Amino acid sequence: MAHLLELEDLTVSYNRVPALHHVSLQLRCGSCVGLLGPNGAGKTTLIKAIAGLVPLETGRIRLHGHEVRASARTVAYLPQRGGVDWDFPLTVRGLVEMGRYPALGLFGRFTEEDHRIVDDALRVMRLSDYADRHINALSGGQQQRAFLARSWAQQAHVYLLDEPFNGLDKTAQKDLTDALHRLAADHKLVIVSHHHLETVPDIFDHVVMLNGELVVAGKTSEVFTPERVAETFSIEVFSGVHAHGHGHGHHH
Amino acid sequence: MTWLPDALQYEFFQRALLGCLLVGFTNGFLSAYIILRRLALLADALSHSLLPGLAAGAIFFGLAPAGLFVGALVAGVLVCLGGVLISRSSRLKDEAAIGALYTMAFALGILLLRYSSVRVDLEHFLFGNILGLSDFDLWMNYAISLLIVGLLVVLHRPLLLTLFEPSVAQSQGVPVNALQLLLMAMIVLAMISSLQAVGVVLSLGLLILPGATLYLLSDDFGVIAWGGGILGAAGSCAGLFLSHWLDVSSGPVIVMVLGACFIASYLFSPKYGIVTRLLRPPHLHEQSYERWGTKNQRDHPRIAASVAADAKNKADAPASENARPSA
Repeated sequence: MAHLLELEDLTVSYNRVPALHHVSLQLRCGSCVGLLGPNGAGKTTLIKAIAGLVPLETGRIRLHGHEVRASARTVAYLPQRGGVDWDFPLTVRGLVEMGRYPALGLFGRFTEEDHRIVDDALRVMRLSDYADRHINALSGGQQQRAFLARSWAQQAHVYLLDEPFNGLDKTAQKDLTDALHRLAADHKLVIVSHHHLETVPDIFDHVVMLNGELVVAGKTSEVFTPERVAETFSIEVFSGVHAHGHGHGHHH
Repeated sequence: MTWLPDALQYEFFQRALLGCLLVGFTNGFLSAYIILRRLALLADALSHSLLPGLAAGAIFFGLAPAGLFVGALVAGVLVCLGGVLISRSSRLKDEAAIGALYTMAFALGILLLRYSSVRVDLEHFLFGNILGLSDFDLWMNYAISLLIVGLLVVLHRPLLLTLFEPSVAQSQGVPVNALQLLLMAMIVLAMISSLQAVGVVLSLGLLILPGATLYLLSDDFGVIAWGGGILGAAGSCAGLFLSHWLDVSSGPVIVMVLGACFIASYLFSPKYGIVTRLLRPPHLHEQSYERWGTKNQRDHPRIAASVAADAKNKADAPASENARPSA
């Protein structure tokens, strides 16, 4: 029962406007969870709260029964691709090696074990052939996987991804989906904010539907229904468009 | 080449050379961090904000170097902290906040200099004079170089994480804000240490040009940082000799030498130089054939025609066609 990420009564506000309002939920390791909701529903905020990047107004976050702190290496945050300086002088291997820095501290030397972990991360994310490339010479999907490999090298248990499917073509989407499923199969907890409702059942085994507050959380096959989607997207101003545009044809 | 040993036998010139090595290396090493963290404009702002500190130092302590040093340090740190404070507590971004503060500081500095009774040679602080390095200046250069290079080496990993992706670094428990403040403090210190050598304005050249040059030459962070240090030191020394030989002031010549290296790498860098890129063929001919050509060349008339033209060119000029080895 301990392999859980527990969010208890989470509230996060910006300038006194709550982005997340008293959200409580439990997520089990080994699942691939989609965070769904309209713009401004608090998807990114929830991810940042778990990553320890925004202060909590109320509530707490526990992993395996222990409080998660900002310094927890067990939680890996992946930035949106647009926010990364891809001209930074860094190879794919260099990026993945960064995942070992927190464990090594300031002076710890790279041991055989560290190199093995880095190689392992590259292999799991199918990047071994690209290890010596500059990060700018990767495709969009490969860039996502490079960051996933870095988190793997960090030996993270919880992977937080903010809209990683944005701007990926069909092949790259399939590729990233497979990578996320490999992580979940390895008992990691993968949490992804997402807004293409059509692809939800293919990618996620669990969904969390947000609208500032928690609408519903559970198995995709059970809770990802047209009614719930309509409920999630109907409270916001843009809801009508979303509910009609995406609210059908996704559930079988 | 008789001028070289001649100059070297003078003590003031030996001091100047040592100063060049220290200041050039330290600034050049720090330069990589400034370029990658996009702090060049901030460094510019800080260089101007040193002025009121120098003026206040002169008013309170006279022209003693220690007083000027403390004044400049306090002024730089105040503008830094003030800028960060304003950007954190309002919707202004930090470059606007620091821009607002440094112009105020600069204006205050000019007023202080003009209406104080202390006669300060403004030109000296604007352009420096490396041939007049005092013992204090040299010791300060030693201390600051040791501190900055030491900190950068010790904090290499967390700094690299912060430079590349601050939010990920923060989620890994790296004290991102503290490191960014530390980096600003190091910029202020480096600038103060190069004041006497090249002056307030030109110190910026030492802090930006080596990193910018190496950034266009290499994709390896270590090469950019250490290479920047070496280029800074070598360029400063070369500039010093050149200025002695030409009998002109050293600061501008040092910056011009580093500037020439920067322009050269902008134009001719093997990978990122604009001339190099212009001279290269517009696309990867051979590789493209390998990928698409063999599959399509029979069906696609345009590719077939281009292959035929290639073959004809090769037949016409077989000896000179090194660029296209074999189809």
